[in-house]
Amino acid sequence: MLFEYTFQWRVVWKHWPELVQGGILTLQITILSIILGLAIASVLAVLQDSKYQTARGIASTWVALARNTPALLQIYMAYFGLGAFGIHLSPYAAVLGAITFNNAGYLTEILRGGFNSIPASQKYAALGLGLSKNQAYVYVVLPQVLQAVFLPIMNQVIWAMLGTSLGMVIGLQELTGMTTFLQSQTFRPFEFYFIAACLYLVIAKLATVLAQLVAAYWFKGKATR
Amino acid sequence: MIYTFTTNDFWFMVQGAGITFVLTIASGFLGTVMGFLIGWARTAPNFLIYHLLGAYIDVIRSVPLIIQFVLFNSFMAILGYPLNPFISGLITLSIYISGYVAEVVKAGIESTPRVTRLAARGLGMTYFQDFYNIVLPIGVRTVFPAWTGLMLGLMKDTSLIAVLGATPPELLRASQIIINRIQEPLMILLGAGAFYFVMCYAITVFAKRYEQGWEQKKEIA
Repeated sequence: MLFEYTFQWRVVWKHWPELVQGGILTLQITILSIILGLAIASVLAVLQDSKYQTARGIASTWVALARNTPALLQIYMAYFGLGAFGIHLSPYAAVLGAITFNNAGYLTEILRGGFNSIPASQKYAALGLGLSKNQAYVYVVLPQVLQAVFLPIMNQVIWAMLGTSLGMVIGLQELTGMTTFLQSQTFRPFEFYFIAACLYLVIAKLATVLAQLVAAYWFKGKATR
Repeated sequence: MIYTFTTNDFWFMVQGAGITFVLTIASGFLGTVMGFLIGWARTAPNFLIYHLLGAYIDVIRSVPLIIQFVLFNSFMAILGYPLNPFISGLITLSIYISGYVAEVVKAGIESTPRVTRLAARGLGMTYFQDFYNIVLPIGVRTVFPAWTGLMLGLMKDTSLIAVLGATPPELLRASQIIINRIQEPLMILLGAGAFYFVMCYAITVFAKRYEQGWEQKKEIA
């Protein structure tokens, strides 16, 4: 025999419902953190081009902090650090908050890159054709921006999903946390983590395929990168 | 008795930052070498190699690093070669970053237009002369910023090695040990954040300067 170890997969299937429950929590936090992150990032991206220095300062500080410190530190900060201000978050709120904070920083850069990738001549051409400023924005600039940022945002979705696994260190029972809990009860770490890894892979693959289908339908395959 | 933050604690954190740095350099180096070979192999016109290595990259990029740490660690134990957590973490980090580096390397190699490479071969260069003298200089300049970004990400990801309980503790683990004793999470975490920020910033500035050096050379030439 190759291994002097008996793999026991049956115990994993016995706990399959719990694993799925963890997976659902992972998905839930991922989706929520991306939606909230996008909302904040849109505001930050606008603030970055503001004429007020304070507004620009807030936006660039947020982006710099979110991108230059580990996500784990951000989670610790939300869970333990905020206690100093009398704010005590549940593990769920701490992970969601920290991942949203992180997402917002990265998404701001993605959005800004998307806007910068559209030449100003596009807007001038639209204005020259007699479109109003708002029309030029909605019909000419925005569709191109969406096309440019769509796949980078999908990458960020995968990142957010991987990031939620950090919830395990503060005892949140998302997929990784649930796996850790179950293996500590059954003493079968390899089997449980292996199945969890497969689940993550399946989720990521499904998300990627879905994104490609949406991109093919929506942008007629013209989404860049 | 009230516990306070002492100079010793500060040096403990500095030492942790040093470990973070060493981990980053070591796994960054190993991962870059592996990723380079994988990315290079994927540019070869071989269907099987392309898709096999593609699957490797896919798996690495869609499984959380924490799970990779634990899986690799317990897999080595199952094989009958239990590793020191620090070493096993270092190897996992290298494998992990190699998946990302491979994609960057592939993009870099493909950034040289086909006609340029054909021209090089037409001038009588061998495959390796073309690769070394034409593809590498162009590719490295193209993907250097992306690679720097990966290394910064790697430095932040070294903090996850704590799940294995690796000693000596890196920066975040060291901070946590101090927090457990003096119960002042906010200040210590702010301090740890400042350390990470400074290290990231230093690497960014260093990389910028390096790139500017190339720009100047280009202007002279």
